Amino acid sequence: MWWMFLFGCTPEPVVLQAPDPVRTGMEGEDGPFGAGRLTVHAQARVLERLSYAVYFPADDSGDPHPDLTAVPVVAWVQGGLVPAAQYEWLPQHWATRGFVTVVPDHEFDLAITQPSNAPLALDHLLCEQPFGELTTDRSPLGLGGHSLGGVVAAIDWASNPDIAWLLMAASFPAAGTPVEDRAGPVLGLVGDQDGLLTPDEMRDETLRFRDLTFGVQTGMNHFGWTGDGSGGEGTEDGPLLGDLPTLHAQIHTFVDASMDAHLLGDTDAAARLEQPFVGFE
Amino acid sequence: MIGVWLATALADPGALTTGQGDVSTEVGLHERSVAVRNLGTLPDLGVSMYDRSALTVSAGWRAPTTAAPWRAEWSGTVGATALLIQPGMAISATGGISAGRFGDRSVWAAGLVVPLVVGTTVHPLRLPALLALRTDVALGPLWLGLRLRTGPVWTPGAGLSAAVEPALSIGVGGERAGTPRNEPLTAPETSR
Repeated sequence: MWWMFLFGCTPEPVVLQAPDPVRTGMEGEDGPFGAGRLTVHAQARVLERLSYAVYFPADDSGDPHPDLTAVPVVAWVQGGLVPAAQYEWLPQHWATRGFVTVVPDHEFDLAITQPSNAPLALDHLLCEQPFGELTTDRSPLGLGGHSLGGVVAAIDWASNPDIAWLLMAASFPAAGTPVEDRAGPVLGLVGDQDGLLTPDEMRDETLRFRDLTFGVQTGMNHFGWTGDGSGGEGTEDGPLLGDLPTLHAQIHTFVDASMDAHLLGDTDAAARLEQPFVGFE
Repeated sequence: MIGVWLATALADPGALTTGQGDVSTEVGLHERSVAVRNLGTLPDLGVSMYDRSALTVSAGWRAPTTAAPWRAEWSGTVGATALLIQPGMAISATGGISAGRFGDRSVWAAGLVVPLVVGTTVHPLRLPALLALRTDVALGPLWLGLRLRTGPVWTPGAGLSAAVEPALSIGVGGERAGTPRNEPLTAPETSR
């Protein structure tokens, strides 16, 4: 088995969640598909190893669901010094609703050191097609990131017109990122308890996006975006006011509507975006 | 354990350009390397493994500007790289200069190294420009050293990224730090 260690062969998929046709995928609930995770290694920047996790809709046996083709693919960029696996609650949920997500690793868990890892992972997935027809070059593309990850995601979004949707989670574009130069739907969400980025600061900075939907969540802080709310030790983050699973379900409801509207072309979801969401101002 | 270490402690241009002793190895965050020097008419030789994703065999040389302990030292390597995750080939060429004090029992130096790689993969070129810091101390027959190479990496199609490569270095045998290559070991040092 030493050669597997030496050359980093791709391991088997991990089943995270079994399918359940009773689940509707509405109002923040998981969708009917199962969720699987596969770790993929790619050659990047000639010499480097780019590792990324792929979360995909799975069938009963944990394989990519055979009834889905060319599903939307979203790349998620981790926040600074937060392990990428801490965000698994997001792509696992998205997988149950029929979306594929790639989550690349970054040196020292700092996306700014390798800002192109997300588009490189997207390119590799669509080129290699490890899931057959599940993801193809016809798949709509999205991008999202938390905190520093959102800063990096905005850079990639601004320079890549093929990316149809952007999620900025408690984040804003850096001053030099030319986000005004392109159109495209952007969802910006922040908590009213965020001690690192106040809603007013984020609103001011994200108004540079041409097509922004903005929401302020009651009770949410900065590191509540991680799976267990950890990661803010030693920072001046505000308190989490509320039950984290409930706050996450509220985020799912808002984000799901935006993804459905802009990556699937769902007109009902687009109409829901015009209405207030529970837990958000 | 030793077998695992040897299997991964293949070499990189770093060990080739800054290692001390006839045989030296560097174990870094991404690169593991072994270099052999003073091979008569042959150039110095090294092998490196980068991230378990690229294996490089290189030949290199170093050219001190003077025999004095305070000096600059040019280095260069050329090599062939096998890409392991998505099979392919690349050619590497490294140029560098470092300056500092190259004493009998210790070395302190800083410099610039440019390890260029041209490959056959989706990214055809990798062009880093790295600040290189090093220190070595002689302990009996061994040289123990610390390395740090850091700086931007430009890759067409992937933009800029940052490289940070701390490493430990161990060397044994042969040349002394204050002795330029191809000079007798008894060559006098002109200043301290």
